[in-house]
Amino acid sequence: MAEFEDKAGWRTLWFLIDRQRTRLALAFAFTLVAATMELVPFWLLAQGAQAVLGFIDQQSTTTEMAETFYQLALWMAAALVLKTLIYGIAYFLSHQAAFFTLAHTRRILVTRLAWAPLHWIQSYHSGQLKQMVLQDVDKIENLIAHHTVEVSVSLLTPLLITFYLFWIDWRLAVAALLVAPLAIICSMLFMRDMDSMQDQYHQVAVSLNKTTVEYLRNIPVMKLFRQDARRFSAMVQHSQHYYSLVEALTRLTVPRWALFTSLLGANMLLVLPAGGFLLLHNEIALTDLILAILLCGGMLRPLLKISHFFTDSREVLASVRRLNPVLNADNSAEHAQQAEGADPVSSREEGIDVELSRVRFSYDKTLIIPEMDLTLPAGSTTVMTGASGSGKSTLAQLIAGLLMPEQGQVTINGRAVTDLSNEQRASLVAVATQDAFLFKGTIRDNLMLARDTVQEHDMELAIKVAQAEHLIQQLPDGYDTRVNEQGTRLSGGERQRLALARALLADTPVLVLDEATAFADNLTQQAFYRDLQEHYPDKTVLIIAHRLAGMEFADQIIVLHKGHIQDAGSHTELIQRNAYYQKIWQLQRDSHHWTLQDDQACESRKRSDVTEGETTCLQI
Amino acid sequence: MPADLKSSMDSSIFRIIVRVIHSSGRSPGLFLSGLSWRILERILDLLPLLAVFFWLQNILLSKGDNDEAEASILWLAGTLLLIFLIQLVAAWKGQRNSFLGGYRIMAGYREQLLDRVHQLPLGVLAEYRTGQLADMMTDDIQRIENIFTHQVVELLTSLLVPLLLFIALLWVDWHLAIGLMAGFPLALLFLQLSRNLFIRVSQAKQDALRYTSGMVVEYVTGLRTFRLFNKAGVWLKRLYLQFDHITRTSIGVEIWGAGPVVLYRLLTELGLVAFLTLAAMQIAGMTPAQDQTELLSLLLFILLAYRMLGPLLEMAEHLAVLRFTVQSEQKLQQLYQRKPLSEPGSAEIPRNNDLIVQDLSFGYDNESLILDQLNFRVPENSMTAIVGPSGSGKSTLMGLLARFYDPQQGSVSLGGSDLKALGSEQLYQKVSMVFQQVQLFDGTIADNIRIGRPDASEQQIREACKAAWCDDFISKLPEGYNTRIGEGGSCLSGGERQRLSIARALLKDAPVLLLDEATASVDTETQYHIQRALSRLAQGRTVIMIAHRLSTIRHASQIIVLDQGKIVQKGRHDELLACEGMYRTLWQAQEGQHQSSAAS
Repeated sequence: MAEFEDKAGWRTLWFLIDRQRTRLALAFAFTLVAATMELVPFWLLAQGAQAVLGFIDQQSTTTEMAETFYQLALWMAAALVLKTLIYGIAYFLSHQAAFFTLAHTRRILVTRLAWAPLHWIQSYHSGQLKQMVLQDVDKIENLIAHHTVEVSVSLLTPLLITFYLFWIDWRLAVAALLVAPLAIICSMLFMRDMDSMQDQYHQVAVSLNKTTVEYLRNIPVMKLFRQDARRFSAMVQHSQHYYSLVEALTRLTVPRWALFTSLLGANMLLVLPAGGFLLLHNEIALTDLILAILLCGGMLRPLLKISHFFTDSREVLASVRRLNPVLNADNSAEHAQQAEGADPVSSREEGIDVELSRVRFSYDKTLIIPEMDLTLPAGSTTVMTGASGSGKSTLAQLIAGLLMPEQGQVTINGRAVTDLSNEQRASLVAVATQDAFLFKGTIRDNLMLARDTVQEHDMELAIKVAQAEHLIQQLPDGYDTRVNEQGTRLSGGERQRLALARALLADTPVLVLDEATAFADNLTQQAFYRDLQEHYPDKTVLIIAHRLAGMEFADQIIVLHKGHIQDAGSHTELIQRNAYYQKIWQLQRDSHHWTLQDDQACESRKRSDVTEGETTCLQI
Repeated sequence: MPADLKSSMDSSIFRIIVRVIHSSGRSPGLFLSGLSWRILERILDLLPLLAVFFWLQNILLSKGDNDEAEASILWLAGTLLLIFLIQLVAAWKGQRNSFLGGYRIMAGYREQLLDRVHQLPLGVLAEYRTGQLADMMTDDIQRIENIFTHQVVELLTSLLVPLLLFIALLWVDWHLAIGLMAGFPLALLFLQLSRNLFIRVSQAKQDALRYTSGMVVEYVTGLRTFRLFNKAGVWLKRLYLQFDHITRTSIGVEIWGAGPVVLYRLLTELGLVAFLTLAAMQIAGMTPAQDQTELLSLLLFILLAYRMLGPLLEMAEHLAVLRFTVQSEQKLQQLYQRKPLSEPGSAEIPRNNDLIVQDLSFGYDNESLILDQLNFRVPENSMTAIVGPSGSGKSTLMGLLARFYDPQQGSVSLGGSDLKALGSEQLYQKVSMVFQQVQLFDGTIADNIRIGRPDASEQQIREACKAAWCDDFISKLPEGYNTRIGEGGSCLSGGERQRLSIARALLKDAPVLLLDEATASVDTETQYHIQRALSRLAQGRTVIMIAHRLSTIRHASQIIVLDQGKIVQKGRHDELLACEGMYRTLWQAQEGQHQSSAAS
């Protein structure tokens, strides 16, 4: 299973480095040269040893020897500088490749998100998506930038040394390598339960982190309810449990790890006696032996880095795998958009109506709207109300084109919403919702999201209708106040009013208000709908609301119940015949007159049912 | 020389090692013993070369006699085997003790930090962004733990072993030893000098990442809006530009971060050149008498040269890794140093439920006061409302009444005792709160209600929920009262969370109630019921309430009007309305011009 997952991770990675493969190949080439250059200083040192031995054998004079050493110093300087340079280039290339890959990957991710179905995106927390785009992608850097160079050096250097030893004398090479199988066998034994131990460690580490996060998140409640002492000791116990398990694991792994690392460094144990023997039998020269000794010491140690690489790469692959859902996200919308191209928009025609015919929609296998037929006549105002879960918001999203109906279609002046390009749709329908989104920037930037240029009086009218005039006046820099940054915090109601103004400024013939005044009090809400009627009489408006103050004027009011139209009519009609509608109005009135110390009301209400025993009359 | 080295070392890293050990409150004994064994292991690693050297010396000086030489090979093999076995033991003991010692120090460090967090005032905890504290206590600690158990010992051994070897070689031939080591101090100095530059560029990268992170979150949360207004493309382009910007700064960081490390290695290795040059000079000036021994020591240096420089070269890597933890440690150290909330040794018991605020002043920092010299009294069983424009200090005042912070000046007292003398235990027994940010914890719904009164029966919980109008929605949940609410109760709506906290407060039945009236957006029917539940909750208690809609507090026993941290008016609704002032202005803004239509 794990191997299968790893494969998927590698495949994704291979896809992501697509454009950087040449650069990476070049980095490899330079690394190969650098790995060879690694051996040169050793060779030069051995030459020094040879000079010394030559002198002892009286084959040379002190001046000759001094000359040799001067030359060696020069060569050494050149070799070191060159080696550094080549390494520098290899690293630079691998880092470039890494950072370009990161940017490329991030681009793909955010582009996929731009077109992925919204409800799918909403199944992720925004923090999770941020984690993917930034942190998870970031992990790739280490693998490409560092491991490409380091792992290849760690493999190449021992290999080159082995070749060289074979070239000197095969027996020496065998002696040098003999510990390797031992170490490898040892490491295989070691690695075998290493996996399970690592999983075990991983599990306790994850569980400790989880407990810590939970503990920290819950501290405030626990303190307020005097449970924190108990929680704290449970937390400390968990931490102790983690450390005792880590200790047990350490005790288990350390002897094997110590044996493994010691064996990797132990090739001297065989090379020296073997070399000495060969030397005494004049099979090899003393200089060769010295060079062999210089090279052999720790020649296998770089292999340790490879084991680190495997540990690291597991983590990186896990991160890469986490990207897969977004990388493979449904991007049919993106292609559809591209295929569509620009089509002249006919939004300027007189009056635009919206029609739903036999629309059916379900989400997660729950049927939300079984079948709906509805017409919003051009220039009319429709109010839709109903208990939560009746499918009101779903309808709004269907009309705005954010959701696609399973069956049937939503048409705007005869054209199916799903056939419209984003641009066309945005110029026809504006939506304001309960959670108003404002981005970092000035109020003006936020208001002008829909349009590139706005006449000042249009702006002021929209702000006035959205009941935000007073708000703008209060702000330190008026329209140029920056929001969503340190300092200016707007309340939910204030944000909603700005979002309303923005939707009005979009200047679309169709306006959908999905609980867009939910945070406003009844009076503000009333004022808004009155002004909307007065200043934007031509818009085709759909209002979704559970508080109905100020909406009595609407051309039609629809009571929705479990995705069905339960009743529809004018306010006067419904208030006379519809029980739900009557109840809503009654409660609304009561709520408005509530005070905290409403003792008597409270007492009487407790005994009687909500809908009965009301003395206030409805006077509309 | 070593003293010299130490001062030019990356001192902050060593300070951090010492500080972590100190903060942990644990003895570093085991850790240091592990370190010593590791150093011994690395020294034993050198012995084979010395054995070879002496063996060679033997062969070179006493030429001939092959039998003796062959026997000496056996001796050599035997010695090497013995060294290896001792080394194996040292490796085992060294790794075991350094790991275990490191983990023990980290266990202490973690516990100490948890203890600090546990003692912080609630207000301080709230200052941290969501998840920030969690990141610190998981990721940052984990980072330090990995370093402490793996890198620190490596760093110290790769520094100490070469230094020991260097001292030994000084004794053999101080010229050559200094030559071999000549590059290292320069390299360190260079690394140190480049450090500030590196910190600056990596700071720039951090800033860019943080900025991008904000952009990505904004992009994701605003995606619906961007799509509706057909602006997703515009935001995508901005993100692309930002990613390219990160690429550029990252490459810059690598050049300034890895560049000096590469040059550090070069400078250190260039010691070989100095060594060869010095050797050449020495040879040129040699007198025949000293020849043999001089030359043999030259051979020894050749054999050991890389054994000395190698670890120093490796050290750069460890240093680089360690550098990345510096920030983590500093963040945690700041947390460690925050002032905890004092708890009294023996808590006073409040005599009654009168709340008195006296000369109360408070500011989050020392520069500006949020609350300035407040005085008021809330008699038992009365209701006090706090009103004022946003930013006037209402929530801060509420926070002080709940002892989320201690005031800089003045006091809040309950039943004649200062809140500090009461301590959290007594205070939170007497006080319930229903605030806008409803605090739920990870657990079932029943757990979340029961925490109000741990010994409550199922029946009592159900009744409280019925009274708070939440029984209805709870029963509709898949597992009813046993439904788990995760991560701050995120699967519940604002209105549902608020009702749960009302149910909890009802169950808790504490004499003092702190209330923030703001009703979340809920449907009409729910709002009606929440209001009734609140009225019921307020009955027979000392209530202090932040009011947003002034009509809800018409009957309050006293209304306190706050403006810019000061009390500007105090009195009953009718009194305040009768006179010119902020209250009347606020009232008129809310009700004034629409009053006629509202009353109809």
